[in-house]
Amino acid sequence: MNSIRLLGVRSFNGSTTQIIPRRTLVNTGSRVRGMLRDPADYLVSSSGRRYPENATGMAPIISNLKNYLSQNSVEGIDDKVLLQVLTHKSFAHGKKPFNEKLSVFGVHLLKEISAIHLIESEASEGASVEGLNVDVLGGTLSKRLLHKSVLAQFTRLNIPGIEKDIFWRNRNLMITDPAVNGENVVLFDTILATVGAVNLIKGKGVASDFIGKAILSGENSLVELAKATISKPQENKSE
Amino acid sequence: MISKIIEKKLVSLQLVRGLSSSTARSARNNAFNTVITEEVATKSPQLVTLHNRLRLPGSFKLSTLGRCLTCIQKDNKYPNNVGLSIFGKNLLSYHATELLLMKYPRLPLNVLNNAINGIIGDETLYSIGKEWGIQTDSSTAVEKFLNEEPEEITIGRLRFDNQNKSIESNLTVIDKKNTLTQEVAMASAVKSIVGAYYASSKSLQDTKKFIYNYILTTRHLKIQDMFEFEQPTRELAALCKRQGLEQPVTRLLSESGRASKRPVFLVAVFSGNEKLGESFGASLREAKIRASVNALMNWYLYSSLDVKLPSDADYSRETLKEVDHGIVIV
Repeated sequence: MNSIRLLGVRSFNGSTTQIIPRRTLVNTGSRVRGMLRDPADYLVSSSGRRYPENATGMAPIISNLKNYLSQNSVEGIDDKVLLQVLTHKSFAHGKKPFNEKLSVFGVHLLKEISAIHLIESEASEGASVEGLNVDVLGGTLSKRLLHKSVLAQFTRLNIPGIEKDIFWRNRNLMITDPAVNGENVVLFDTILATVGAVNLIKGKGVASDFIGKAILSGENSLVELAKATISKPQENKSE
Repeated sequence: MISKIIEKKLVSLQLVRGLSSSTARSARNNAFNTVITEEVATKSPQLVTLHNRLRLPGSFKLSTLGRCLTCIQKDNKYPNNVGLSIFGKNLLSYHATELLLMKYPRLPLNVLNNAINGIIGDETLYSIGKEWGIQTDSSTAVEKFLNEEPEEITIGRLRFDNQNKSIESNLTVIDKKNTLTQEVAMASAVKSIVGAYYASSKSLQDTKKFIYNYILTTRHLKIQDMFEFEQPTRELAALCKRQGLEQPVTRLLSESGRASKRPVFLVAVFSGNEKLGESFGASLREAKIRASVNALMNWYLYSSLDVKLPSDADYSRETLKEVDHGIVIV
């Protein structure tokens, strides 16, 4: 059932010229050609959460990510930035700040730090350079390390319930496979955006420590998960 | 007599080749390769010159520099530079992205990627490698053998299986079995030197200095030429709406020769009393579009006067409340 309401009146205070306030009629329900959709209609995530408009609404959504960061000694990132980390480009046709560029910033830092971690810690058959096993790079492990499915699995395991906090648009609600419906990509972008935000606000030193402590070490670390995905097909074959 | 000598040399060359293939060397695998020794590398005039020219630290061994110049080859004698090249690329990509994102925080992603490619793409790194004086090894194995070329000369040159083999002037054979072109091989050598710099110094700050001094600040990039707008007026309207600004209005500032063959209209786009952009055109429509493009460029190419980088030692932006929203989706 469709309903039509007045979106609101926009006034421009401080302007010297007199501007007639703009009145916009918006439509709720099924789409009507030529009519604007009510923002309240589409500012809802795939999990049913409404996009917060103020700090009070923001707090329960970002609390999960905030706790994860504080557990790993990262504090002082503004709530608005954390909300942007949790917003994917697919949400609300890009009308709300999204995490695309933070994600790009994060991926480059993660590549650099994980490469240093691998050449310092992993053994290789090739000749090392000053004690660094550079031939590990370009191998299966280094490729799997930044694979979308591995990073998505890492995010699910280390920040439980984050998939419900992320604002994104599921391309098809009937598809439940996260590898097909886009959930893996969204989780991948979110964890990279988290790294990007820490780097942008706290600096590379803190971000590198965060990657070393939270992402590359521990039981559910990225390295362990990548190794598990490499060994899995072999186990199946032996079975 | 000469033909007999050549025949003898070719026979012994075949023996050497047979021996090398029996050691099961693969193109990528470095496991069974002999390493360039420091003793041999020290005798290489090209390696010593390149080392001095780039003012590499003493901890950067000449043998490592020799490895940087060894690309993937069918019969690899020495360990190749694949790992070093990947590592160097990671270091370069991070610093190029950081520099561009901090300098132009509002750049759209496609422009950012093109700009990164412009700074550290294969074409750019090829020209940087040439400026560094890296020589390419174009002689064949037979020529080397017949000339009795010493090992130290060979290791001082960039060695790779060239995809494009020049047989005569104006005649090039493209061998698709070989994956490397001269451009790609030279770029991989430059990236490897960056990777090896970190391996030798074990310092990210020193590596950053090297990257800035020798790569990132050596080229001037015209980012403004990388933009292409399909619907600039619509995009500007969407941008103003998103940023909470008044809807853009185009106003004619001045004109000349409206009835003539070549009229010129000077038009500006305003949001309230704020002028967003200005341009001219031969028609009102053209001037309006150009002014919208100018306004969008002013927005996307915003640059802070005081650019600080997260990799700087004293960096902190805890007061930052907002990060760039992202591109305008029309």
